[in-house]
Amino acid sequence: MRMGTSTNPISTFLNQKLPIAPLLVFRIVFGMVMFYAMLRFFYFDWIAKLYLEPSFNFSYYGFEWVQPLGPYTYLLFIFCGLSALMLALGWHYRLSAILLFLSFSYIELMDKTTFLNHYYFVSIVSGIMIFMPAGKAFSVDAGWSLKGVSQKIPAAYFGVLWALVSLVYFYAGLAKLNSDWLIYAQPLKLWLPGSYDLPLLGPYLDQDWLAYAFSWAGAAFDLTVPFLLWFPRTRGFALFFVVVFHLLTRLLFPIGIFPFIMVLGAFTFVKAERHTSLLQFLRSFLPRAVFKDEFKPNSIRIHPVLTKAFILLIAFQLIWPWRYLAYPGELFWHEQGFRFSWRVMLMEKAGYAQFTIKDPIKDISFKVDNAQFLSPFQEKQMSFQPDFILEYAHYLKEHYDSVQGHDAIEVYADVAVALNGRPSQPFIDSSVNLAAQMRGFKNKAWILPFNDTIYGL
Amino acid sequence: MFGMQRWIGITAILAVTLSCVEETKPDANTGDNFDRRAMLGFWADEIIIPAYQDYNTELSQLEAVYLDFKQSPNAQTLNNLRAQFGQVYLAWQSASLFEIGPAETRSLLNHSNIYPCDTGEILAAIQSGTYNLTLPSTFDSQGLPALDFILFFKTGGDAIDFLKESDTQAYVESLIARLLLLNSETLQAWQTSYRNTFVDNDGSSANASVNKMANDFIFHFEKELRAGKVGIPAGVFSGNKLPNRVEAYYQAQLSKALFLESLAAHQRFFEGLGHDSTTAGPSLKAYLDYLNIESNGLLLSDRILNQFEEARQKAQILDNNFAYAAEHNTADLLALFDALQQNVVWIKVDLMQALNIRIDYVDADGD
Repeated sequence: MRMGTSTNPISTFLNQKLPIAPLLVFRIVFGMVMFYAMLRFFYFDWIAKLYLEPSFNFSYYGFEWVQPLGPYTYLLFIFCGLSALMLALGWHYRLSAILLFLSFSYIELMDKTTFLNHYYFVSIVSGIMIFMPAGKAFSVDAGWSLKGVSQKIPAAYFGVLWALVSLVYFYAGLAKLNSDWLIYAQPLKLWLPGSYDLPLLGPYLDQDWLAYAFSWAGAAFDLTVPFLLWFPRTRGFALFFVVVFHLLTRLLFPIGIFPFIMVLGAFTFVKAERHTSLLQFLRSFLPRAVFKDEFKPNSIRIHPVLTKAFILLIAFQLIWPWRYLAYPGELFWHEQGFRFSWRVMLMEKAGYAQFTIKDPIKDISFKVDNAQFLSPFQEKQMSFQPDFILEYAHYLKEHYDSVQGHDAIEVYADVAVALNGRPSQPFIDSSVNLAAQMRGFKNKAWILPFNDTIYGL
Repeated sequence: MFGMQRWIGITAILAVTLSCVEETKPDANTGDNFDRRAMLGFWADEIIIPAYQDYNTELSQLEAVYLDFKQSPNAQTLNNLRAQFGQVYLAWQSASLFEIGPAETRSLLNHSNIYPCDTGEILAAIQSGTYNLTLPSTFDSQGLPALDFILFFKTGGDAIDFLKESDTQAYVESLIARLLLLNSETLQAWQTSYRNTFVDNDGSSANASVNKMANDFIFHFEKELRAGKVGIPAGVFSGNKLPNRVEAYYQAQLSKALFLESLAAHQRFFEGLGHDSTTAGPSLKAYLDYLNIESNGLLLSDRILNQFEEARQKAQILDNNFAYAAEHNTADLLALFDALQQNVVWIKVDLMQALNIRIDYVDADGD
């Protein structure tokens, strides 16, 4: 391994030093957006609806110990919001990043019903922020000094952010390279007419050509925008499309803070002078009392271990989404390896699951009213995702074992699922006792094969 | 400096636009090729309001027939009273479907038709003369099931004697008055302001009328028709048959007629037939056909209609008395349940997906 005189573009990049300003703006806006995200949880009463009212929460495999905290769950969200605010202000920066990372990740792990790719992205970013020098200038910690804003930091700090943002776009684009998206314009053909009441665009939304145009443009955008952002000559162009794209998706779909996060990510590519002038502008609103200008420039380095950790993280993100190839059958159907892979707004899937409890000892069987155990949102999400179906079946077994006073209860399910506008078809083998099936990453052989073919990735 | 200002300007506009979009999404219809507004108008004018009117007329008639009985309690007037009660229960089947707007705020369904009723509580209320029918805890001691019990649980002269008692009469009068009050308030709200509120809310958000009504429709089909009238008595959810859980248990020979009436009301709503069964108009079926939604070689709408017919045929072979059917022809009643179940899948999964109607009530984010 000779690294010294290498012409490897990665090490050339990593040996550079870049102005810190974009990272400072990123810290401030990221903190504000996360604070806003927490406010939304309160405003829409989601804490009660999503976490407290359901008697049972769907856990990620291995994270069953992460559960809502009863009434203290509200404190958790307050805590998370306050740490986001601390991060924005750069007040006890490192600590605030750790708290934000832990509290937000805990929130996300409480119930996988609410899984969103951009929340996963937020978790990763707040984890990275712990190791960033983003509180070293223009912060409460550093006294809002302007001198600090002009210092330079190792390029690896930007590299990891830029690589992540690029990866999210590019992988979202790759995932669209399939026959449903490109040849049949699904699911946009189903989704777009629903927004027929939008001004200007509304009347055209049930036109096929528009669904095709949006599908192809969306795929092309996702695949090219990372590259257009990296090169200074195309950057302005790319930013324009980033804004238009996210504005459109925001108008058409209920996607929460996702557009903010991605636009923010893309803006870290903008050259440092712009960020510096923004910071100067922001500074003009600050009271003089907070300024401490006795800033001692203190060269910011990066530990080689951290650089390697960043590279490993990106390598992991490059490989992990492909794990679905290890499973037989159609990914969109069985969803094994679907999550945590930047498959964003990719398919329309709905199902109906009717569970049957069999008591072989008392020789009776009966069906379950899902509303007795699940919120409507949980029931909806459970009805087409095999790992949810299995976890719920196990929960039902536990429940009815204790009701019936023995542990021989068997659980069967009749599930019908419709994917991207196809007629519903049976989803899992209704003769399989789900109570006896193990959770985990092994292929779920009781998922019935998809009776159609989707070509592509 | 110009660069910076433009920079800040763009950022500010972007931030404001992004944050305002969601909360101020307009619900006004600016033109869709399928006229949702016309569909809402048809639902309101030809299905919902006439159903409430019809039910209201029958309730008023019940009040009159009851007064006849009160004046001269005899076998003839009791027969008239019981027969008219059957008419009320049948008319209710069409009014029951629309738990939206004024019916929703009054919990019309919960006050009118929670069964089985709590007979112990009803008798206690009659005896003590103290009860508060506005409390949710009294849902199961009022409404049609309570009247069904009071009018039918005794036979012959015993029934007349029981209904002659002033305590019983006071309770019966409260029950009828309450049914009439809640329904006439609901009807009046529809006839005055709510009709336009309903039709004007013709947007695509989760709270817009088409979404809410479609959700109410499938909810009613699944919980009231499939589970309440058939599944629960057949023992689908308990493992053992429960004949005493049928609707109108104390004159259970009416239970099949109530089921068929409800099935027909659901079908009329789906295919766009007015409450009079003849006036045709826009519907969920027409919406599906407009989008040309097929399901394995057939139109999805035809599949759903065929399944309605399938359920009707499965019901025809059953005894008029569903309590008897649950006891003695459990398998046939279960077959009826399965026929209904198939339509739940087609409506809740295929239809909702095709029309892009969200079925979760929590308006959470997607990505």
